[in-house]
Amino acid sequence: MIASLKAGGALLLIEPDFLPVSVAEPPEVRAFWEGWLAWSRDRGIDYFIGRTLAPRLASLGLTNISGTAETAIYNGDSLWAEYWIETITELRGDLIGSGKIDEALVNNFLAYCADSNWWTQTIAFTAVHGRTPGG
Amino acid sequence: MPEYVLGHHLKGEGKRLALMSELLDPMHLRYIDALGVVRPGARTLEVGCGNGSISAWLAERVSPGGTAVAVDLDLSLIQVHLPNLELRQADIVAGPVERGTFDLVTARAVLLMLPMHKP
Repeated sequence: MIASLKAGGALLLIEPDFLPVSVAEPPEVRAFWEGWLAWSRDRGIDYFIGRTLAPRLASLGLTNISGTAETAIYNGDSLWAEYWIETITELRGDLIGSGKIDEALVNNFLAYCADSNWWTQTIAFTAVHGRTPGG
Repeated sequence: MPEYVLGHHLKGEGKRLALMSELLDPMHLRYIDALGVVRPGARTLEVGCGNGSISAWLAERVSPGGTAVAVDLDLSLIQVHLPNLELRQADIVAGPVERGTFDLVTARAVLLMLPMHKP
């Protein structure tokens, strides 16, 4: 991606960091996310990549690097909850088949996603940008 | 060619991508705007364009005279077609799209899936 930029061009990356799930409530939701993260590691997905973006861009020679992370706070029955219901439903077989998450954890999580009284946060979307030298 | 964990062929993938666009495009566009590089005549590249919502916005903003290039492993869920929006099916890990030609390169929720994460 950096090689594709003109001198002085800008690279903008937005990637997730699942730091907020480490304090998710209630405990069964936290347990769901622990299983999700164990599954994702097995599948080669890095859900903590957000925190690595700035040093990576610096090591690759970009300048003017800065960034922020934004975390949606959402409740059950919201768009974010709908996103997770869609995602977990699609992956349900793979998640349970991996042995990292069981049926009860999945069912509990989906029930919270349908409960408008449940509030939570999941992903710190980390936006980092930098410029190629020159330009 | 590598594959997504959640492939575009899955029944719910179009809806999932639409939800992601609705939830995350406002943030993404705000950051792009703040960079000040997307203007008429500019060339932009979006890697992992999904349903193409960001690239469609970029194509409108770089017009007239500019081009938005949208790259993905799978372009089957792209719903927008504009004269200055170039869709390319490619694997970014295989190498740069074009060397030294873009004013902006952006990607969202892409690197986490790549084995080496190299921007």
